[in-house]
Amino acid sequence: MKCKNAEMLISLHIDNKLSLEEVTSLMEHLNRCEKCRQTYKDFKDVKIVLSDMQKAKLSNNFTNSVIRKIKELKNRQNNKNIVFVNFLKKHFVMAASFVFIIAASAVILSKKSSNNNNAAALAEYYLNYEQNTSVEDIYDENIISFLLLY
Amino acid sequence: MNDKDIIERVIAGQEDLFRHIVDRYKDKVLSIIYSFCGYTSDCEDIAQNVFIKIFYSLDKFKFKSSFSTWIYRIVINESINFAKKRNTKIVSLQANFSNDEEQEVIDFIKSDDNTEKKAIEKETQKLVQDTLLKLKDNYKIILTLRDIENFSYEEISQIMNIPIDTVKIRIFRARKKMKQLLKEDNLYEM
Repeated sequence: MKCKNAEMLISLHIDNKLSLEEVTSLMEHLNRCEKCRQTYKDFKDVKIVLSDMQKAKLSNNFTNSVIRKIKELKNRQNNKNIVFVNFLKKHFVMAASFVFIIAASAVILSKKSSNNNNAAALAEYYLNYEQNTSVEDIYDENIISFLLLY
Repeated sequence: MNDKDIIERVIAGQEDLFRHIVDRYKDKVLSIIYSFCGYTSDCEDIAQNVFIKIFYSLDKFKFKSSFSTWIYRIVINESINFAKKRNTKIVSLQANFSNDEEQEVIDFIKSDDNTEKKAIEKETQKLVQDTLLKLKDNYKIILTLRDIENFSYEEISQIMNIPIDTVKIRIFRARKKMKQLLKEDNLYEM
Protein backbone atom coordinates (compact mmCIF):
# COMPACT_ATOMS: atom_id res chain seq x y z
CA MET A 1 0.00 0.00 0.00
CA LYS A 2 1.29 3.46 -0.86
CA CYS A 3 1.45 6.15 1.83
CA LYS A 4 -0.84 8.38 -0.24
CA ASN A 5 -3.58 5.74 -0.07
CA ALA A 6 -2.81 4.95 3.57
CA GLU A 7 -3.35 8.61 4.55
CA MET A 8 -6.87 8.52 3.15
CA LEU A 9 -7.59 5.23 4.91
CA ILE A 10 -6.30 6.68 8.19
CA SER A 11 -8.87 9.49 8.01
CA LEU A 12 -11.65 6.96 7.33
CA HIS A 13 -10.42 4.64 10.05
CA ILE A 14 -10.66 7.44 12.63
CA ASP A 15 -14.36 7.72 11.70
CA ASN A 16 -14.84 3.90 11.74
CA LYS A 17 -15.56 3.82 8.07
CA LEU A 18 -13.30 0.92 7.06
CA SER A 19 -14.16 -2.71 6.50
CA LEU A 20 -12.28 -5.37 8.45
CA GLU A 21 -10.09 -6.16 5.46
CA GLU A 22 -9.22 -2.52 4.95
CA VAL A 23 -8.33 -2.10 8.65
CA THR A 24 -6.08 -5.16 8.47
CA SER A 25 -4.39 -3.85 5.38
CA LEU A 26 -3.89 -0.44 6.93
CA MET A 27 -2.47 -1.84 10.15
CA GLU A 28 0.02 -3.89 8.19
CA HIS A 29 1.18 -0.73 6.46
CA LEU A 30 1.37 1.26 9.70
CA ASN A 31 3.53 -1.44 11.25
CA ARG A 32 6.09 -0.83 8.52
CA CYS A 33 5.76 2.94 8.02
CA GLU A 34 6.87 5.44 10.67
CA LYS A 35 5.66 8.41 8.61
CA CYS A 36 2.12 7.06 8.37
CA ARG A 37 2.08 6.19 12.06
CA GLN A 38 2.81 9.84 12.74
CA THR A 39 0.04 10.86 10.33
CA TYR A 40 -2.36 8.57 12.20
CA LYS A 41 -1.45 10.23 15.49
CA ASP A 42 -1.76 13.71 13.94
CA PHE A 43 -5.21 13.07 12.50
CA LYS A 44 -6.42 11.63 15.79
CA ASP A 45 -5.12 14.71 17.61
CA VAL A 46 -6.96 17.03 15.21
CA LYS A 47 -10.19 15.17 15.83
CA ILE A 48 -9.72 15.23 19.60
CA VAL A 49 -8.81 18.90 19.66
CA LEU A 50 -11.87 19.85 17.65
CA SER A 51 -14.31 17.63 19.52
CA ASP A 52 -13.02 19.02 22.83
CA MET A 53 -13.59 22.59 21.72
CA GLN A 54 -15.83 24.46 24.05
CA LYS A 55 -18.95 25.30 22.17
CA ALA A 56 -20.24 28.83 22.09
CA LYS A 57 -23.37 29.47 24.10
CA LEU A 58 -26.31 31.63 23.26
CA SER A 59 -27.81 33.99 25.77
CA ASN A 60 -30.65 32.57 27.87
CA ASN A 61 -33.04 34.97 26.24
CA PHE A 62 -32.18 34.02 22.65
CA THR A 63 -35.39 32.21 21.74
CA ASN A 64 -37.56 34.95 23.22
CA SER A 65 -35.62 37.60 21.34
CA VAL A 66 -36.13 35.74 18.04
CA ILE A 67 -39.91 35.47 18.62
CA ARG A 68 -40.05 39.11 19.68
CA LYS A 69 -38.18 40.21 16.56
CA ILE A 70 -40.52 38.20 14.32
CA LYS A 71 -43.56 39.84 15.96
CA GLU A 72 -41.99 43.28 15.49
CA LEU A 73 -41.40 42.62 11.82
CA LYS A 74 -44.97 41.37 11.35
CA ASN A 75 -46.39 44.46 13.08
CA ARG A 76 -44.28 46.68 10.90
CA GLN A 77 -45.55 44.88 7.81
CA ASN A 78 -49.17 45.19 8.98
CA ASN A 79 -48.71 48.92 9.61
CA LYS A 80 -47.34 49.38 6.11
CA ASN A 81 -50.41 47.60 4.69
CA ILE A 82 -52.75 49.83 6.72
CA VAL A 83 -51.01 52.98 5.49
CA PHE A 84 -51.37 51.80 1.91
CA VAL A 85 -55.08 51.04 2.30
CA ASN A 86 -55.67 54.43 3.95
CA PHE A 87 -53.85 56.09 1.09
CA LEU A 88 -56.14 54.35 -1.39
CA LYS A 89 -59.26 55.30 0.57
CA LYS A 90 -58.19 58.94 0.84
CA HIS A 91 -57.49 59.22 -2.82
CA PHE A 92 -60.35 57.02 -3.91
CA VAL A 93 -62.64 59.93 -4.70
CA MET A 94 -59.89 61.56 -6.68
CA ALA A 95 -59.10 58.30 -8.43
CA ALA A 96 -62.78 57.60 -9.12
CA SER A 97 -63.27 61.09 -10.56
CA PHE A 98 -60.26 60.62 -12.75
CA VAL A 99 -61.61 57.32 -14.04
CA PHE A 100 -65.01 58.89 -14.64
CA ILE A 101 -63.50 61.74 -16.64
CA ILE A 102 -61.53 59.31 -18.78
CA ALA A 103 -64.60 57.14 -19.40
CA ALA A 104 -66.82 60.11 -20.18
CA SER A 105 -64.25 61.52 -22.60
CA ALA A 106 -64.07 58.19 -24.33
CA VAL A 107 -67.86 58.06 -24.73
CA ILE A 108 -68.09 61.64 -26.03
CA LEU A 109 -65.27 61.14 -28.47
CA SER A 110 -66.73 57.94 -29.80
CA LYS A 111 -70.18 59.58 -30.18
CA LYS A 112 -68.68 62.54 -32.07
CA SER A 113 -66.95 60.19 -34.39
CA SER A 114 -70.23 58.38 -34.97
CA ASN A 115 -72.03 61.71 -35.69
CA ASN A 116 -69.33 62.63 -38.16
CA ASN A 117 -69.94 59.36 -39.95
CA ASN A 118 -73.69 60.04 -40.06
CA ALA A 119 -73.13 63.56 -41.41
CA ALA A 120 -70.80 62.23 -44.09
CA ALA A 121 -73.34 59.58 -45.13
CA LEU A 122 -76.11 62.20 -45.17
CA ALA A 123 -74.06 64.55 -47.32
CA GLU A 124 -73.43 61.82 -49.82
CA TYR A 125 -77.09 60.92 -49.82
CA TYR A 126 -78.10 64.50 -50.65
CA LEU A 127 -75.57 64.67 -53.41
CA ASN A 128 -77.07 61.61 -55.04
CA TYR A 129 -80.57 62.62 -54.11
CA GLU A 130 -80.66 66.03 -55.78
CA GLN A 131 -80.42 64.45 -59.13
CA ASN A 132 -83.46 62.19 -58.71
CA THR A 133 -86.08 63.56 -56.30
CA SER A 134 -89.44 65.52 -56.20
CA VAL A 135 -90.45 68.22 -53.64
CA GLU A 136 -92.62 65.78 -51.63
CA ASP A 137 -89.78 63.31 -51.44
CA ILE A 138 -87.46 66.05 -50.18
CA TYR A 139 -89.89 66.90 -47.40
CA ASP A 140 -90.23 63.25 -46.28
CA GLU A 141 -86.52 62.77 -46.51
CA ASN A 142 -85.83 65.76 -44.26
CA ILE A 143 -88.04 64.29 -41.58
CA ILE A 144 -86.07 61.03 -41.77
CA SER A 145 -82.73 62.88 -41.66
CA PHE A 146 -83.80 64.80 -38.61
CA LEU A 147 -84.70 61.58 -36.90
CA LEU A 148 -81.33 60.01 -37.88
CA LEU A 149 -79.31 62.84 -36.38
CA TYR A 150 -81.18 62.93 -33.08
CA MET B 1 -44.44 17.45 18.26
CA ASN B 2 -42.31 16.68 15.21
CA ASP B 3 -40.93 19.32 12.88
CA LYS B 4 -43.63 18.78 10.24
CA ASP B 5 -46.45 19.36 12.75
CA ILE B 6 -44.84 22.50 14.08
CA ILE B 7 -44.21 23.90 10.60
CA GLU B 8 -47.80 23.30 9.49
CA ARG B 9 -49.16 24.98 12.61
CA VAL B 10 -46.81 27.94 12.33
CA ILE B 11 -47.83 28.45 8.70
CA ALA B 12 -51.47 28.19 9.77
CA GLY B 13 -50.91 31.08 12.19
CA GLN B 14 -49.67 29.63 15.47
CA GLU B 15 -46.44 31.57 15.22
CA ASP B 16 -45.47 31.16 18.84
CA LEU B 17 -44.82 27.47 18.17
CA PHE B 18 -41.80 28.52 16.12
CA ARG B 19 -39.94 28.77 19.42
CA HIS B 20 -39.79 24.96 19.50
CA ILE B 21 -37.86 25.03 16.22
CA VAL B 22 -35.51 27.64 17.61
CA ASP B 23 -34.90 25.68 20.81
CA ARG B 24 -34.35 22.44 18.91
CA TYR B 25 -31.75 23.76 16.49
CA LYS B 26 -30.14 26.83 18.02
CA ASP B 27 -27.05 25.09 19.41
CA LYS B 28 -26.04 23.43 16.17
CA VAL B 29 -26.88 26.58 14.22
CA LEU B 30 -24.61 28.60 16.47
CA SER B 31 -21.83 26.05 16.17
CA ILE B 32 -21.79 26.36 12.38
CA ILE B 33 -21.94 30.16 12.52
CA TYR B 34 -19.21 30.15 15.13
CA SER B 35 -16.82 28.35 12.82
CA PHE B 36 -17.09 31.33 10.48
CA CYS B 37 -17.29 34.19 12.96
CA GLY B 38 -15.16 33.07 15.84
CA TYR B 39 -15.27 34.93 19.09
CA THR B 40 -17.35 37.84 17.90
CA SER B 41 -20.55 39.28 19.23
CA ASP B 42 -21.97 39.00 15.71
CA CYS B 43 -22.62 35.29 16.11
CA GLU B 44 -25.82 35.74 18.07
CA ASP B 45 -27.11 38.43 15.69
CA ILE B 46 -26.40 36.19 12.72
CA ALA B 47 -28.13 33.28 14.44
CA GLN B 48 -31.16 35.48 15.06
CA ASN B 49 -31.24 36.57 11.41
CA VAL B 50 -30.95 32.95 10.30
CA PHE B 51 -34.02 31.95 12.31
CA ILE B 52 -35.99 34.93 11.05
CA LYS B 53 -35.10 33.93 7.50
CA ILE B 54 -36.18 30.36 8.26
CA PHE B 55 -39.48 31.61 9.66
CA TYR B 56 -40.28 33.65 6.57
CA SER B 57 -39.25 30.76 4.28
CA LEU B 58 -41.29 28.04 6.01
CA ASP B 59 -44.03 28.10 3.38
CA LYS B 60 -41.38 27.38 0.70
CA PHE B 61 -40.19 24.19 2.41
CA LYS B 62 -41.69 21.22 0.58
CA PHE B 63 -40.36 18.31 2.70
CA LYS B 64 -38.26 16.97 -0.17
CA SER B 65 -35.30 16.78 2.20
CA SER B 66 -35.30 16.60 5.98
CA PHE B 67 -36.07 19.86 7.74
CA SER B 68 -32.77 19.80 9.62
CA THR B 69 -30.84 19.45 6.34
CA TRP B 70 -32.72 22.46 4.96
CA ILE B 71 -31.97 24.53 8.07
CA TYR B 72 -28.27 23.73 8.06
CA ARG B 73 -28.01 24.62 4.37
CA ILE B 74 -29.49 28.05 5.13
CA VAL B 75 -27.10 28.49 8.05
CA ILE B 76 -24.07 27.56 5.96
CA ASN B 77 -25.08 29.95 3.16
CA GLU B 78 -25.72 32.81 5.59
CA SER B 79 -22.42 32.16 7.36
CA ILE B 80 -20.48 32.16 4.09
CA ASN B 81 -22.22 35.40 3.05
CA PHE B 82 -21.39 36.97 6.39
CA ALA B 83 -17.76 35.92 6.16
CA LYS B 84 -17.49 37.30 2.62
CA LYS B 85 -18.97 40.64 3.67
CA ARG B 86 -16.79 40.92 6.70
CA ASN B 87 -13.78 39.40 4.90
CA THR B 88 -12.90 37.58 8.09
CA LYS B 89 -9.49 36.00 7.90
CA ILE B 90 -7.74 35.63 11.18
CA VAL B 91 -4.12 36.50 10.63
CA SER B 92 -2.84 37.25 14.07
CA LEU B 93 -3.67 35.18 17.10
CA GLN B 94 -3.08 38.23 19.25
CA ALA B 95 -5.81 40.09 17.39
CA ASN B 96 -8.40 37.79 18.92
CA PHE B 97 -7.49 38.60 22.44
CA SER B 98 -8.84 41.92 23.58
CA ASN B 99 -6.84 43.66 26.29
CA ASP B 100 -9.49 42.64 28.83
CA GLU B 101 -9.27 38.99 27.86
CA GLU B 102 -5.50 38.96 28.05
CA GLN B 103 -5.65 40.57 31.46
CA GLU B 104 -8.20 38.00 32.54
CA VAL B 105 -5.83 35.19 31.61
CA ILE B 106 -2.94 36.87 33.43
CA ASP B 107 -5.09 37.48 36.52
CA PHE B 108 -6.17 33.86 36.53
CA ILE B 109 -2.60 32.68 36.54
CA LYS B 110 -1.53 35.13 39.22
CA SER B 111 -4.50 34.62 41.53
CA ASP B 112 -4.37 30.87 41.84
CA ASP B 113 -1.71 28.45 40.59
CA ASN B 114 -4.26 25.67 40.35
CA THR B 115 -6.13 27.51 37.65
CA GLU B 116 -3.08 27.83 35.44
CA LYS B 117 -4.12 24.68 33.67
CA LYS B 118 -7.58 26.14 33.04
CA ALA B 119 -6.08 29.31 31.64
CA ILE B 120 -3.89 27.33 29.28
CA GLU B 121 -6.89 25.28 28.20
CA LYS B 122 -8.82 28.47 27.50
CA GLU B 123 -5.96 29.82 25.44
CA THR B 124 -5.65 26.55 23.55
CA GLN B 125 -9.36 26.65 22.76
CA LYS B 126 -9.02 30.10 21.26
CA LEU B 127 -5.98 29.12 19.24
CA VAL B 128 -7.78 26.07 17.84
CA GLN B 129 -10.76 28.24 16.99
CA ASP B 130 -8.50 30.73 15.25
CA THR B 131 -6.86 27.95 13.26
CA LEU B 132 -10.25 26.66 12.19
CA LEU B 133 -11.12 30.15 10.98
CA LYS B 134 -8.06 30.15 8.74
CA LEU B 135 -9.35 27.18 6.73
CA LYS B 136 -11.23 27.73 3.51
CA ASP B 137 -15.01 27.60 3.79
CA ASN B 138 -15.57 24.03 2.62
CA TYR B 139 -12.99 22.64 5.03
CA LYS B 140 -14.31 24.77 7.87
CA ILE B 141 -17.85 23.55 7.34
CA ILE B 142 -16.95 19.89 7.01
CA LEU B 143 -14.77 19.77 10.10
CA THR B 144 -17.44 21.60 12.09
CA LEU B 145 -20.12 19.20 10.95
CA ARG B 146 -17.99 16.06 11.41
CA ASP B 147 -15.60 16.62 14.30
CA ILE B 148 -17.41 19.24 16.35
CA GLU B 149 -21.07 18.42 15.76
CA ASN B 150 -20.62 14.72 15.00
CA PHE B 151 -22.82 14.53 11.89
CA SER B 152 -22.53 11.29 9.96
CA TYR B 153 -21.03 11.18 6.48
CA GLU B 154 -24.52 10.62 5.05
CA GLU B 155 -25.92 13.66 6.86
CA ILE B 156 -23.00 15.80 5.71
CA SER B 157 -23.57 14.59 2.15
CA GLN B 158 -27.20 15.76 2.30
CA ILE B 159 -26.48 19.08 4.01
CA MET B 160 -23.68 20.06 1.68
CA ASN B 161 -25.35 18.43 -1.30
CA ILE B 162 -22.22 16.51 -2.31
CA PRO B 163 -21.60 12.79 -2.92
CA ILE B 164 -20.36 10.72 0.01
CA ASP B 165 -17.03 10.08 -1.73
CA THR B 166 -16.51 13.85 -1.87
CA VAL B 167 -17.31 14.03 1.84
CA LYS B 168 -14.62 11.45 2.56
CA ILE B 169 -12.00 13.23 0.47
CA ARG B 170 -12.88 16.63 1.83
CA ILE B 171 -12.67 15.49 5.45
CA PHE B 172 -9.28 13.96 4.77
CA ARG B 173 -7.96 17.12 3.11
CA ALA B 174 -9.45 19.36 5.81
CA ARG B 175 -7.78 17.37 8.57
CA LYS B 176 -4.50 17.43 6.72
CA LYS B 177 -4.69 21.20 6.32
CA MET B 178 -5.78 21.72 9.92
CA LYS B 179 -2.86 19.63 11.06
CA GLN B 180 -0.45 21.68 8.97
CA LEU B 181 -1.79 24.97 10.37
CA LEU B 182 -1.67 23.73 13.94
CA LYS B 183 1.94 22.76 13.39
CA GLU B 184 2.72 26.22 12.08
CA ASP B 185 1.14 27.72 15.21
CA ASN B 186 3.20 25.33 17.32
CA LEU B 187 0.05 24.36 19.05
CA TYR B 188 1.13 20.87 19.83
CA GLU B 189 4.12 18.59 19.49
CA MET B 190 4.49 16.82 16.15
